[in-house]
Parts: sequence; structure tokens; C-alpha cells
Amino acid sequence: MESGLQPRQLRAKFDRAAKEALKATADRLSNEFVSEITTVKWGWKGDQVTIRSDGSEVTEPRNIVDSGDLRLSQNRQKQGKYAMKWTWEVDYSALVHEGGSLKGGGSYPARPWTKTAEANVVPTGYFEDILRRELDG
Amino acid sequence: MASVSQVRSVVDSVIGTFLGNYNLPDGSTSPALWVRGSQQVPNNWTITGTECVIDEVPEARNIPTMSQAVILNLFWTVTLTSYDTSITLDNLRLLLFRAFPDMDTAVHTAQTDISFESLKVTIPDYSIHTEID
Repeated sequence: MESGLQPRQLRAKFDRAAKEALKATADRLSNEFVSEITTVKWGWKGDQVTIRSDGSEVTEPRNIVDSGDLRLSQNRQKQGKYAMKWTWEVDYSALVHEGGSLKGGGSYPARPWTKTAEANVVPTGYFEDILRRELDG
Repeated sequence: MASVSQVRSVVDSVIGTFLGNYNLPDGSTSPALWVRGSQQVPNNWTITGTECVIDEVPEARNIPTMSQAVILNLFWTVTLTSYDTSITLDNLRLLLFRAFPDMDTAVHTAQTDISFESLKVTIPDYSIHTEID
């Protein structure tokens, strides 16, 4: 960190750096969520074929995009000074993420794209790197 | 660090009376509490009421330290599914929180047109070990 700062300037400098680091980390995570949803990497039920809304047939691995509504529903909200919240506002988002048992029989595989994105980005480490860079100038 | 048998025993004592049954092909029934690992629930069993499935192998996360200690966090995953559309899992969630106050994750998936209501909780289980040189 640069020398010669007065104590009262430290707080302002830290707040600016933390704000930048949070925004950069949130941007990185937002992109990673979309990447995880669109990447063809997810397992399904072996060779079982699904006909997508565009008429294409997929087995596995597959992405999590059919109509695209889930991906487009991604919403990010700032929750106070140092927190962000993401939501996917379609009624089946939890089912896709967590999987579940179907009323018609059988199960729906979990595809936890938020967990894999978090594992890829390691947000605390990313935040730390940006914060250090901002403070060091 | 608990074993899966211990976790199963505690979960059974907390919510066992609220669980439903597996209906076996020979007409017998068994409490709908399953440890999922090397064996899955057989396809020819049906379920009534609420099912509880405990993953045999917990998720493990290491907390790096600067000392010779290894702090390991295990997370036991417990999944409840209500196959009776008139019964919600709210009460069981409350009971689990009361039995495991350090439980911080409870993902509730509401019933939809095509899927049953489910609740996935992770029960933390901390342990400290020494490093091996």
C-alpha cells in the first residue's frame, strides 16, 4: 500500500478498493454462472434422448439450455455494502439445480451450476487478489 | 467425526416417526429411511409418505491452517422428499434445525406440476487432526 496516507484516508481507500474488488468478483461469477449453464458438460440419464424446443435431440453430456429462459432469468442484486445475491426467476430453477423426484415416476438429475461456478472461480481468493491489487495501486 | 450409522440413528430419532414407508414387492413395508451409497433404493419398491435419504459419503472441505493442525469439515447430505402432496416438509425442517443447530444449509424445492416437494440439508461435522510429516 502506498505510504504517506493519513489514517482518515485509509478508510476511504479501503472502501474504494473493496467496492472494486466486489464488483470484479461479482462480474466474474456472473459470467461463470452463464458459462456453466451453457457448457455441454452435464450428465443426464445415460443414452436417454430429449427433444429440445428447437427440435434438436440431445443425450449426454448436455448443457442446461432449452428455451433459454433459465439463463436469461439470472438476476444480480447488491445486498448491502459487501454482499451480492443471484437469483434465477423461473419456477423450475430449483428443480434443475437440486434435482428431484417426478410425479410421473423417475427422477430429475441435479445440475448444480452455482456450486461448480463457485468451485471454478473461488470467489474469496479472486476477491483477495483484486483487493490487494487495488490497495497496492 | 461421526459415522453414517450414527448420523442415520440421530436423524431417525428426530424425524423417524414422521417418515413414510417403502412398499416391497412381497407386500411388506419398511421405514422410508435410506443410506445412499453402494446401494440405491430398488426400482421395484414404491414409496408412500415422506422419504429420507442420507448420502453415505459426506462432502469434505479442508480449512488450511498455518499450524500443524488439519481442520476438516464434513457435511452430511440429507434429502427429504414428500410423495404425499398433502404433506409439506416445513415441520421436518424445523425439527432438523432444532436437532442440528449448526446446520446452515436447507434448500427447499417446492412442489411443481411435475415434481414432488423436496428438502436438502447439510449437517456439518467438524474434526481436527494432526498433519503427517
